Amino acid sequence: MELVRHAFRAMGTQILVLVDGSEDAARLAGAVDRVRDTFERLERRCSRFRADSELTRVNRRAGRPTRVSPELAELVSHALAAARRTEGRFDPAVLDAVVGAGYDRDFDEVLAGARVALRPPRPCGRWREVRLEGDRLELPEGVGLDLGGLAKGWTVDRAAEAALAAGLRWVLVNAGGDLRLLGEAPPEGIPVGVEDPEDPSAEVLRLHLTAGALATSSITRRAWGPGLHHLIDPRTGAPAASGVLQATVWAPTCAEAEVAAKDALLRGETALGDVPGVLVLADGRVLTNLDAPEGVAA
Amino acid sequence: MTEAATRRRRLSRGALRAIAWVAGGAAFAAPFAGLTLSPKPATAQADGGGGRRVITVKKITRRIVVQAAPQAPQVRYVYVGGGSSGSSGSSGGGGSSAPAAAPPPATTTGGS
Repeated sequence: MELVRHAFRAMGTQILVLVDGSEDAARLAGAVDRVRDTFERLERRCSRFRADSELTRVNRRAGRPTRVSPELAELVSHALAAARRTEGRFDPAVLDAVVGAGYDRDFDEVLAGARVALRPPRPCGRWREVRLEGDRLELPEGVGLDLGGLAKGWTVDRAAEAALAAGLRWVLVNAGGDLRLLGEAPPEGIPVGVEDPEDPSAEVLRLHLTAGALATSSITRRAWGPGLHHLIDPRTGAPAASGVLQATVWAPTCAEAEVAAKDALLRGETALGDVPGVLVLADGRVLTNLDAPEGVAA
Repeated sequence: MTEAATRRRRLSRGALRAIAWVAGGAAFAAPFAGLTLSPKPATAQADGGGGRRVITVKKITRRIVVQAAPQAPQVRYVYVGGGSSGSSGSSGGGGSSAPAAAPPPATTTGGS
């Protein structure tokens, strides 16, 4: 199977568009343009690092209602629903805790500055006080939204839909490891390597994806010191320390997979009782509840 | 009597020579002993400063454990790494070994 790749950077990570090699070049170019436009548009809406983003405006106006775009309202609604579903283990209102842990700027700048924890952690959970009615969004004073990975997964879904609408048979959009496969993919699936969190040059498993999405949460990426990383446990307000180094989870959409991956990282081994995926543990074990391909000897 | 006693107390030439050798040897060794026993100056490494790096080679051993699947999603796995595999739960069986020189995947879960 011959594949064509197109890559660019957006949202602080590499975006990869993968399609069948037999696709018409003009159709492919049109699809890539749609993917790029989708990422640029949603980054302007959802990035907490951009001073001119819609989310930054909402965060600055905490304590007062702000009129937001339907797209941001839908994403925030999705985030609040995920918070309810996970009983707060996924918390979109962790901005204060993330900043307190040292992730207060674009990650390349965080690394350059060799940050340490700035403030002692405090439990989160104030997502319950966020009010969204139609296009009016109001955050309680002192609370900021960090849509981070969820915004990325959401954007991957929208970008894959936009690319498929350009007339492709199938498309895979991968944003820094969070990916969605949409359309009529080859029956043998698209091979996706699950990176070893402690050795990115190695794979712990290889997955064959025929539909849906994969998202990965890892405490070894976007880490800037011992025990300092971007995945905050809302119960403590500190970077998570569950014994799981990395959680890769399958779900029908990338936005759902994003939430499930973070939740699995916090819950640990028990998450595999109801979520399909792969966990890499600090003790060296790799746990999976996925099946091997049919016809392959176990 | 006094003269005789004095004469008896005098050491022989050999004994004097032996004492002289011991004393000379001790005098020679004293500075080295002092250097050996004196406390060492603090090093940059002990201070936690940017001295010589200590390289620790860490070998990662992975063990694949397959658990019962909650559903049958549109994703399957193939084992491509080193190490060993085992199973628990009802799905049975460990992963399947890919050929030694498996082609690279189309994409990965890693990011940058």
